[in-house]
Amino acid sequence: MENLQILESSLFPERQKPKHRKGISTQIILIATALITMMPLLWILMGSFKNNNELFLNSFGIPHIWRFENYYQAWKNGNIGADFFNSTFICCVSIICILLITSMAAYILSRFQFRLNFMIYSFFLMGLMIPWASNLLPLFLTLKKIGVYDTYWALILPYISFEIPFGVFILTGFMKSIPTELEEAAVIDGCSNWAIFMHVIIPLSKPVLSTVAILTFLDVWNEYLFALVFLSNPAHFTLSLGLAAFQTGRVQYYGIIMAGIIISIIPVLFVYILLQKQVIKGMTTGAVKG
Amino acid sequence: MLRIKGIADQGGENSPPLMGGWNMTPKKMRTGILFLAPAMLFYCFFVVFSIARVIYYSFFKWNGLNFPQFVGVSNYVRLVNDQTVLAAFRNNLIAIAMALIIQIGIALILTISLSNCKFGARFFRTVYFVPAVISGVAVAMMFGQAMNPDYGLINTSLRLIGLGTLARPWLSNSNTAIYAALLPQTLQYIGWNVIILVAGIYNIPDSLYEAAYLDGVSNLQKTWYITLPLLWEVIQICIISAITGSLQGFTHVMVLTGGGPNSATELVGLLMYHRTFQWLQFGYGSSISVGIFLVGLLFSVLFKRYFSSDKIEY
Repeated sequence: MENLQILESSLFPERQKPKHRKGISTQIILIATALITMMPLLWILMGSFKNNNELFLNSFGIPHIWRFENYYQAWKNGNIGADFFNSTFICCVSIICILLITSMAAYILSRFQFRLNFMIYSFFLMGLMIPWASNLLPLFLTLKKIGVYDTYWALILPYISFEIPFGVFILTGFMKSIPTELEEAAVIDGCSNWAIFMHVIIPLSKPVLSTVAILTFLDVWNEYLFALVFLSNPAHFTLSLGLAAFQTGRVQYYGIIMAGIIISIIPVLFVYILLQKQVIKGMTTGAVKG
Repeated sequence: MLRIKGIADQGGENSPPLMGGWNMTPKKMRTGILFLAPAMLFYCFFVVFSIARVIYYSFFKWNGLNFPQFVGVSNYVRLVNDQTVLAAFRNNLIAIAMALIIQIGIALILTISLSNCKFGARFFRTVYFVPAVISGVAVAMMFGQAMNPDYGLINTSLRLIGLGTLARPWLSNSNTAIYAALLPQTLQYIGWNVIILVAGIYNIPDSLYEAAYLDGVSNLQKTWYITLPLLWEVIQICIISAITGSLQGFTHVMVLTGGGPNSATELVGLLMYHRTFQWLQFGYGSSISVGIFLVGLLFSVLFKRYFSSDKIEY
């Protein structure tokens, strides 16, 4: 837990700490690494406008002709458009469900006192240790049995379940820090628990709810293994799955594959650029659960 | 189930007093159960029940069609004697080594550089973190394109700087395939480690560096004697997640090579997938799943036990 506090307190300091050191060499290392980090991305971006011929002759440079039709091809013939909508739908439903379910549980765990409280909380936290991949077979059999195999629900249900430990962990921690006065006032005013939850707790928890939502979005959008096993009909493929299928011959032009890669990462990059702080926080707290 | 406990000490030392004046009335109890039920049901049914069933299946011989036949621990006996599993496990060890040396090594260099950085530290951090938010599939495919023998970024760069003889089909040459296939997952999470390490570095008090500055200590010495020892606790987090992450590695290699050429890039996770869903060895596949989980647990427990020092007080 203490690691979490270290992270919380120091992840985004207001100001850089002076360390009494100067040096042009460090600056060079940093700039060079930043360039190397971005290079594959830029190369793919440039390549996504080229045809095979140009890719072979002019692998590096800026394309001579900007072939936007590569994107159209990837979207239409490569089926990336359909995959994009599948991923979006699965993401949205998962996020809404996970926010509702975990915040309800976290409300009880952070606000109600009963003997089993801490036990239930620890029970949820145990799930943080379980690797997603190890549950593949039983999940597959369960999903087949309840008749949702190869539908959107075959992904949504497991995604919700596997995000619960993280959601409960981070939301319970936050809700414990909300002062109780507001709720007491609400109780005096005769609010029901549901009303307190909806009108006091949820609005106050917005920052953490958004962290959970963002992390769920990234996890679900980027997930591959569950999609690989629980879907078989290409019409239901998620973006990761459709993209990987590109390699086994959905298209024959490399530029179109690259366009598909770019399409798949645009939403993620968009979210990252807009909500950088939340994204970084969400992705790192999970690991520092200590 | 839910019983009154009054004002309790739940939730650790830093939790504020809970709703002290409230009692657990039947109505509240009902609310509690109702609010907890959805999370509990999903979690128990899809996570806890599943992991229990994996363990259960691992003691059976079953292909999904026949009647499961109880075989005791023989799946596990087979697991430790299986040459393909051992070969795959060796590849996982290579993944761990690459993660520890390349991923955490580069992350440390970048972190220390960032702490000396005069301007733009935040910008650099943002850039380094970009690969970590992109999906494993997209990163793997980018590298797949970049490592293409004909037009790939790597080979064309080599030819451009006159090292064309080094250019080779990285992924289809069975000598280089394993390193090439593991490179994407190694490089992708450097930025993630940087963030964690930077958080640790900001917690080292300035006074130590000021004292060192007054004593005329060189930068290298400061790094070696102050930064690294005090960062050790955070480095451990990175090491443990590198190890567990490498043991569970799947996506990148699956997309890039699928285990080929000639099983040269087989990982334990891939083997589990292939055995379970292609060879329909449900029991044996489950025992591989359990094995991955246990080895990860074992590594982290051993590591914590032997390497964690006392908590650092400033």
